[in-house]
Amino acid sequence: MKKTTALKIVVMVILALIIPLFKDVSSGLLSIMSTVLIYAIYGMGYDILYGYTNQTSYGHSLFLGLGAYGFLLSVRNMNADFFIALLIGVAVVTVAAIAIGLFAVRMEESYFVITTIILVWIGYYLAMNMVNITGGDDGLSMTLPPISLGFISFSLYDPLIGYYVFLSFFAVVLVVLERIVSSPLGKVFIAVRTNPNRVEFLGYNLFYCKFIAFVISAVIAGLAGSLLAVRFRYASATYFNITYSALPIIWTVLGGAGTLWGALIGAAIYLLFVYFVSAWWANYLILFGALLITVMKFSPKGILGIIKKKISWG
Amino acid sequence: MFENLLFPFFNGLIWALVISLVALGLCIIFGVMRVVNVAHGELYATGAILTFIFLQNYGLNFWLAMLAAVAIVGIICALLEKFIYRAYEGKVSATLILSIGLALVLQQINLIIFGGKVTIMPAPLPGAISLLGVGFPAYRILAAGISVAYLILMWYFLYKTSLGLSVRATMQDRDMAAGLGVNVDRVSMLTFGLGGVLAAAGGALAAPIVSVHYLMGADILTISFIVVIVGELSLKKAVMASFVFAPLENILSVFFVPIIARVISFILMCIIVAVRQTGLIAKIRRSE
Amino acid sequence: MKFFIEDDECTPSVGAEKFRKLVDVYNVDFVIGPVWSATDLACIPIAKETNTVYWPFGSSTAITGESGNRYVFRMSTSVREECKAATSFAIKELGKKWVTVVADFAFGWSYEQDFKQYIEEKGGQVLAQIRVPTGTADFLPYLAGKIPPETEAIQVTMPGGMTVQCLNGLQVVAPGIPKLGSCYLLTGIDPAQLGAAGENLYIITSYPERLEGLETPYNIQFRQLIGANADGKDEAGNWLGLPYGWACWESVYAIKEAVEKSGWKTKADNPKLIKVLEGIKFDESLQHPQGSKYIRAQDHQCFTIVYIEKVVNGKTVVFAKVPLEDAVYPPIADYTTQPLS
Repeated sequence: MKKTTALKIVVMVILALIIPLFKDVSSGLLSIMSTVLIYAIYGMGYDILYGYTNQTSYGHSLFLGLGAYGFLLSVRNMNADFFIALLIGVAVVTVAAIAIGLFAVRMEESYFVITTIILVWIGYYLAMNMVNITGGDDGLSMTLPPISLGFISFSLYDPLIGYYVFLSFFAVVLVVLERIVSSPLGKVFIAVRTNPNRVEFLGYNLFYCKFIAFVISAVIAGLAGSLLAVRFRYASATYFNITYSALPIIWTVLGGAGTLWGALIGAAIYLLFVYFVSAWWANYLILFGALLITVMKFSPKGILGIIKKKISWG
Repeated sequence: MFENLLFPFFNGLIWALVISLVALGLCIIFGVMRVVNVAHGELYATGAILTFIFLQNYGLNFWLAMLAAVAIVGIICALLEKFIYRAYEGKVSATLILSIGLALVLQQINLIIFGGKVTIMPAPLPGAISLLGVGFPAYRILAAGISVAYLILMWYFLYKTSLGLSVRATMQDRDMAAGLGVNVDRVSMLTFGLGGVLAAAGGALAAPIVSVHYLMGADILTISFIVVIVGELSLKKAVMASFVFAPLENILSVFFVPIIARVISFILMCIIVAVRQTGLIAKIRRSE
Repeated sequence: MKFFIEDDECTPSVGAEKFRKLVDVYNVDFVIGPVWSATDLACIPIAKETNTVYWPFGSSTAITGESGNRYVFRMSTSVREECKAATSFAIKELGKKWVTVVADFAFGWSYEQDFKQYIEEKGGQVLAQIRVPTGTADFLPYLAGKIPPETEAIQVTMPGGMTVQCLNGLQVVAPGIPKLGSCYLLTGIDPAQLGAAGENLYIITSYPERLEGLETPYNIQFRQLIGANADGKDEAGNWLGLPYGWACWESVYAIKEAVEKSGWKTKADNPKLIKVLEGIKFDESLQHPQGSKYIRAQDHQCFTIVYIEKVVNGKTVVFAKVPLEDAVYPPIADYTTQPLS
């Protein structure tokens, strides 16, 4: 256990201190890493649902989009400051997640997956159609509010500030989720994944546990959505598209489900492909698809699974 | 008013048949292998694209082209089952990722061999027929007939042959079927191949109606999933669900903006699933 | 000049990321494109934020309207420009009673709205406005019974991916009726394979795909330099997308001219460059083979000649040219009031 904690600290140090050092050498690095961190937040939240309680939602971009628009519309229409807008974004998502979770989580696995698909398509069509509110697929832009902490004010337009803001949220979400996972609730989550029937026999309310996991993952997706809107100063109905629902599944499983850190790895690899491989081959998604299949064949526990195997033998 | 509804209704029936084919494929794949095949839409597209290529570049007539395309897709799917999916059957999450990977690869391959363009596929039967005063393209009626033929063939295979019996047994209870001597591996291979055949056939049949495009599978995939789930993973009910959904959406488009018609249809489907799956009605009855 | 090329995948968030990559990683001074309006709209604020003069060439009116800013210059036509020009042709040559069939998204709605406004101004009438959801492949349910018998012509606004199916559908419900397609309706589509569906089809465009439509010495030389044959394809037979591509070429030369005129050396000189560009005129030349044009000072929108092509025997031929004056509309925004640091 100590080895992994040390490794985690090393990664965090790299993220916090080493990467920003490169900002003048290659300002693109901060740029990509900002997006990686936001995607990692989205993925980590998804991991709680999928990796820990084995519920495969194929509709999480509904929450991503709601979070993005909750933030963006608060800033545009109410001139909300950063934290209020964030709160609104998260609040909207929480309400939606509770409403949906109440009936969706009860369903058996395959029904759950398809229901989430139906819901996200409904969200997507509505977002595309309600152009006066959402701007449709053209989307809407906003002027970023500064982050005011009493006497100091930071502008989110500064790439370094932006990076540290995203890194901070990543760190906070990571710490919170790791605490949840190692808490009694987290143990029940893992039990739900391993043997849901036994969980019920032991007297736990299975539905309640899965429901909590669902809402947590949705709220984090909403947070990621708000941060995405901040990053691009923009939100569009395409955030509700089902492709954004498939992505966290891909990142989590590719990196390693049920590890939280897997999402970071998966998101980083994905962005490497989008950013660099696409410049080399327009059909780069073939390679990415092939990578998914290959990693799965080697280890359904993803890349971290492969690494763990190597470490325990080495 | 009535005439206004007639066309959407007929059209809905035609689409219900095509959707049934695709949904049936999804259903048996899930039933036998517990695989949520998100690559199904790409198989549909590949069916259309290969048919087009055989038609255009090799000068085959439409029926031969379709047969060739469907056979190729079926064989590829059977091989994919054996070499890629087999180790993970039963594990919904692992196979989901495999399917996503496959979907990406297949989609890009379609893009590479066919390009990003949209092309018309000439209908093997041009012209229109007048049905109750509404002009209806003759090909659509033919496509409906072919779909019905496919469905009848499927029904015959599944319910009147011993191999079909093995497939249904595996769908019902894989371990028990294996215990009773069914070669479940071979059944899986056959099923995935058959699923591919059905999807590709749907694509080939739809192509003269909707034209060929490498992304054409996206729409039909979602609708097929919905129909399968409303049909509660039962083959017969999936077909019935198609016949509810497609005409419903077509008729609603007369009264509402089409996108809203679709949203309403989806919401209705969602309610049906939610109510039946959570036993809401039973609960309400119990509390009364 | 050094060029860096990125693919926006027709996805605004990817496009925005690539815009940042170009500016952050490659340190580009100017960005040109893409042609996808949604990406353009996502990138416009980033252009301002990164002090990068930006040349998108999507056609959404908002790009040089409510969503633009002083860093954005559009060297191609806007939807409003296209509609205004097309209606002056349409009312004379095609008819007074119209039905509009548009794809149900921003591009479609803006054509639907502007076409109605301008055709009514000129004494025409829109009898019905049909919207078809994006991604629709089977158009019959949306068209059957919806087109009044007294309709004289149909205005069709579709993205390239829906055009073929739409024309097929129209062929079934209203065979042979004159159709006026939105700008670049036939992008990537071979008119020869349309068959009867291409009968009586007119298309708005800013540049004829085939050399025959604009056989000026400048255009001939331009096409020679970029390797386009008489049909607008390259040696391998791929469509080059010239109806959009000319905007790329001309943007580069607009930048060159503005750099030379203003003495621009680095991004710090952007204010000088921008002021030179506001109101600049370009004469038809090798640098501007599409035709003479000018960039309006207030909204940075270029105004130029608009062509109407017709599909004849499976090929597009230029049927009419609409003079620049007929395409000009009042500016929606005035960026000259925005201060430049």
